[in-house]
Amino acid sequence: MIAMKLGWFALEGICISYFLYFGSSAALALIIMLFVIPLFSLPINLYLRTKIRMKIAAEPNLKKGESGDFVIEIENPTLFPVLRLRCSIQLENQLNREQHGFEQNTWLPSKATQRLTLQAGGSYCGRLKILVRRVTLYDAFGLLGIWSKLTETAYMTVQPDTFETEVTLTLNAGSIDESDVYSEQRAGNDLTETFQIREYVPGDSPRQIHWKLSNKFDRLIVREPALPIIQNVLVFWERTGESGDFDILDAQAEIVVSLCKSLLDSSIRFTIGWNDTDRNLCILHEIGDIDELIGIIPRLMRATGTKEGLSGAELLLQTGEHALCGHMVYLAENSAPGATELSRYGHVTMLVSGEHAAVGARIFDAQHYPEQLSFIEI
Amino acid sequence: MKQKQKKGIWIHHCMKQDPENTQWVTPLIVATLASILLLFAMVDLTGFSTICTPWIMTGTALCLCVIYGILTKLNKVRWFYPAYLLLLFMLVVLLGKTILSGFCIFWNQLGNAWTAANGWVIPELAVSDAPGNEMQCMLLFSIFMGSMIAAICCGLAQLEKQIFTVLLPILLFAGIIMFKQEKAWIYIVPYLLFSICLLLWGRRNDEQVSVKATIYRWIPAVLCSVVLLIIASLSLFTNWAAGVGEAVQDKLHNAHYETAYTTLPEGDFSDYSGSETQNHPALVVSMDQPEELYLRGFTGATFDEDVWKPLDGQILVEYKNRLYWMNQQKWNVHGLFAEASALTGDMASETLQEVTIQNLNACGKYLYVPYTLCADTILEPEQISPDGVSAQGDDIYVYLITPGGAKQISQMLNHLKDNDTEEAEAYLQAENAYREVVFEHYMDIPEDVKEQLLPYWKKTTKDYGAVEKMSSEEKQECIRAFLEACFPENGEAPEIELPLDRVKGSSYQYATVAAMTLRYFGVPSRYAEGYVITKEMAENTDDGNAIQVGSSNGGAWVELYQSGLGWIPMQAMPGIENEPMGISLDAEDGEIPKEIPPKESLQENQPEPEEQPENGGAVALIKENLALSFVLFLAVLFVILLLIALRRRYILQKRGKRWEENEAKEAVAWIYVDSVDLLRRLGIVRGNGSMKDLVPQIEEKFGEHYADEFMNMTDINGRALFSSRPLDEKYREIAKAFYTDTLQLLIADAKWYRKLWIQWILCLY
Repeated sequence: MIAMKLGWFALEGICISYFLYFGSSAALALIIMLFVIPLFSLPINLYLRTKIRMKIAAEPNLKKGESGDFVIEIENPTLFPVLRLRCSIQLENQLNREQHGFEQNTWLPSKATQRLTLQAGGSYCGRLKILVRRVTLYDAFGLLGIWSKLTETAYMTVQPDTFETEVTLTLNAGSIDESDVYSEQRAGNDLTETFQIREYVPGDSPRQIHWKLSNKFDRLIVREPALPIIQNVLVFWERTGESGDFDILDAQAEIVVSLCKSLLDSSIRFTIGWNDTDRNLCILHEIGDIDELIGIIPRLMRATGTKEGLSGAELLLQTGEHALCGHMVYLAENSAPGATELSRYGHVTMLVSGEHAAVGARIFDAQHYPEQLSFIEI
Repeated sequence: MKQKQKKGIWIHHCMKQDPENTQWVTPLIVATLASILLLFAMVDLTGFSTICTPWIMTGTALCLCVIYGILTKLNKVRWFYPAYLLLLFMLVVLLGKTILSGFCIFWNQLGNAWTAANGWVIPELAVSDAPGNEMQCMLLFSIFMGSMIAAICCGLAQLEKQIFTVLLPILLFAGIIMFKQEKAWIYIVPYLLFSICLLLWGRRNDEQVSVKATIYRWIPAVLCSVVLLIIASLSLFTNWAAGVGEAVQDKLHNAHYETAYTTLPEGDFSDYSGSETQNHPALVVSMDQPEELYLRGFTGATFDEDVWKPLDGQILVEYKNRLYWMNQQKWNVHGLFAEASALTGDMASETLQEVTIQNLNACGKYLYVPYTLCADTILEPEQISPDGVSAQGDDIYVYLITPGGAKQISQMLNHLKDNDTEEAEAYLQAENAYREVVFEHYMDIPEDVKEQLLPYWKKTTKDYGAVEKMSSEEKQECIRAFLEACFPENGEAPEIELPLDRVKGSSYQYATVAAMTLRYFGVPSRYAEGYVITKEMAENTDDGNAIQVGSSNGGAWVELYQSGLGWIPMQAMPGIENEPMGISLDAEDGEIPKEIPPKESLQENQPEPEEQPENGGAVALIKENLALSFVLFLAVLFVILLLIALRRRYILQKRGKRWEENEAKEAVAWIYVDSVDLLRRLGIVRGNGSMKDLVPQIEEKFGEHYADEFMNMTDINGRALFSSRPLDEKYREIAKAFYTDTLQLLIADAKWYRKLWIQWILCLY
């Protein structure tokens, strides 16, 4: 609207020049008109600022690098139109705190609803907070603005991409990996529990043949052993000590989600955790299936990091032994204080991208992490 | 709609597809209106409104705008400008001479308007086409001009229509100032309303503009402006506004040219309240041998409603060629006396005197020059206006004068009688040319003044009979008697009711009455204002010393035109001698027995336009000199070809760099893209499916071998694009070989002109 204002000033200047130079009464009339219209709009806009209403709706999920629609609906229940209206919108990636401002101009007819369809997106994963922080009502020339009290917020989650990584559990004498919960999707090797009964196909082990049933149905029937679901794994994302490098942060988010997905593919129930740097808390969630993982991603994608402060590892230790597991994956930019302490409670796999890595940590970088972490033993 | 974006987060408009392509309407309307407004203003301001040129221009502009709109609607607008330029080029090639003649007519009209407004002469261009073809020339030029303006407006409207908000009023304002049009009122309203409407329309770039929103904004603005314009048209407001305008112009004039101690009224007595009694320095004049000087600033030719005005611009236009020709011959009307002096043998050998003027408090709009000025020492040749020499902001200036002017008048007149040299002959021709102007336009007496003074004039002449039959001496006697009666030496107020009653008894009133009286008796005269260095002042100043001329030395006097010598001041203050500087009041050619050549012979003697270096300029040269045109054409062609070659070289270099990328994957992908581009030119165009769908078509057209090569290359490209593994260097060579094969096919397949196009314009190889 700056161009509009400059245009108004230029036009007013030209009109005044005409009037003064030629003594034209028509130019004088236009000078007055250019002043009167904005002034006349002022009381109307003061009235309208309390009457208009706003709603905002956004697509919940986005892929990285793509744009998603969000719609701002502004309703005017009065008889007066808003001749120009400006929405100041702020977009923030809550994961990396990147911010971007945007202003959209429109108008609002009387007794009508104006729908503004906009698009937002991000090249880094994270939760996008779309905040309409100010709605300003203007006159026809966009000169005198009146702020309304309307603000609205919507969220979009830019989902992290995942990569293939193979996760295996290391034999850990100190931990109890037995489980009485079995997978319903995949067969395993626990002969004490049956996954399913089916007909024999060549290649099946003779030891699997269920002789009793085979005898009964007069054909070979085999019994598949069940897969016990292990619940003794913690994937912890350290949010303290980050450098603010968006690429590293993005890589970390992708690693966390890819790791979780891989664990679920292996029917390993696990706990996902991170530290809330604002409240100095450890957030821990048990994940048993893919739906639970999808459900937790928006929360994970707004786990804002900090450079300094109490580390997640320290908070985890403070939380108590019940929060710790026999197999722990500790993901951080640099090994935080307390991270090495975790190994007293179980096997800790440290995935670190920064320069200050503890001994035994797996190092990755923002460019080659899919290759570097294609196989993880935890 | 999903699309790939840059790094970081972003937010933008939802770019909705417009299946009906309605984006053409707004630029079309804006461009059409802007073209019409521009053309009408141009035509009216420059005076190019003969025959039906405005309508032809408007019609052409409208047609072009409609064509532009249709092409935009059909998404073919990219062809508009190339096609238009081609058409224009063809028009110029085929009918260039006629268009050029039309341009010459336009230029001459423009020059006339400029001269009328500013008193400066733009040399006329000779129209080379047959004399009867003016109509055709103007028609073609109108089409040319109308289309050019429309094309520019279309481009601007498409690019950024809001630019017209400021552009049109500023252009109009500049035009009005340049051509000093009084009737600016007519243009202001439509231009400003158009600009305001555009401003209310909004900007498409940052706003979802709709026609409905614009109408909502227009309604209050239109209502408000209609009401205000009706009120503004009431005489009360128009008078008030006009008063403001005049006051502002006065203030501007004062601020620009005057100081607090400037006293002269510049011929305007409509609201003159008299000068200050206190004496402030106005000029500082330095000369080697001080002498009596009448330093005139403002001079008035016509008197109307208590205001003296210089000669009207339109009259100047009428005599423009004659005055310009005089200037060409170095005879400026301000320097006629000095020229005559130079011709008079002995006196010509006298040393000219240098005068330095420093303007302290006098009006800075004029140079203060005496009638003995050597004009070529200070004036520009184009400065032909015979009234008031424009100062152009100079506060200190130097010029040469012929010393002892008044004493030489009789001798000069006698000398001119006897001088038969070619120079004298030429000078008298030039002087005669100007004398005609003088006798035609410095003889008017306004009706109200005539009514007021006629009874007294008749009373003065009752002993001599009709004015026409009176001798020079009788006229001189009558004038003297009348002026003495009006302004007696004892200073008593006359019983006669005279014009300019508000400056009763002043030199201004005396100069006005004297000028009117001289005119009544057939002597061309004019009103002059300025500063006088009196005989006493000159005598009391040592040689070389500066003379301080104060406001008390300022005033007015009358100047009469002496045939052969130009304008001579006549002292007109009461109580001081009212002899016209020692010369006869006779303004007929009696003083100069030489036969004055008639106007026709004068014109015959004028040099032909093409012989004048200023006349014609580059355009005329091009017109006359086909060889030069051809060379110019070749030069332009060469530049275009050079640019094409440079562009091709740059594109090919860029491509070469991409092909030699460090990563073989990147290079292979680029080579494949370039190869596919070549295939497109061979008619193999990919639809929505895979590239491999093209294989049967390629096999049919170019054979199995090439189809296999294409298939293999498509696979390699797939690996280059999607595989995470690096690609071997050998694939780069394979890709290059594939490109070469494709290029060979293209060269073999395409016609020569297509090859030229692909090679030099598309730069595909």
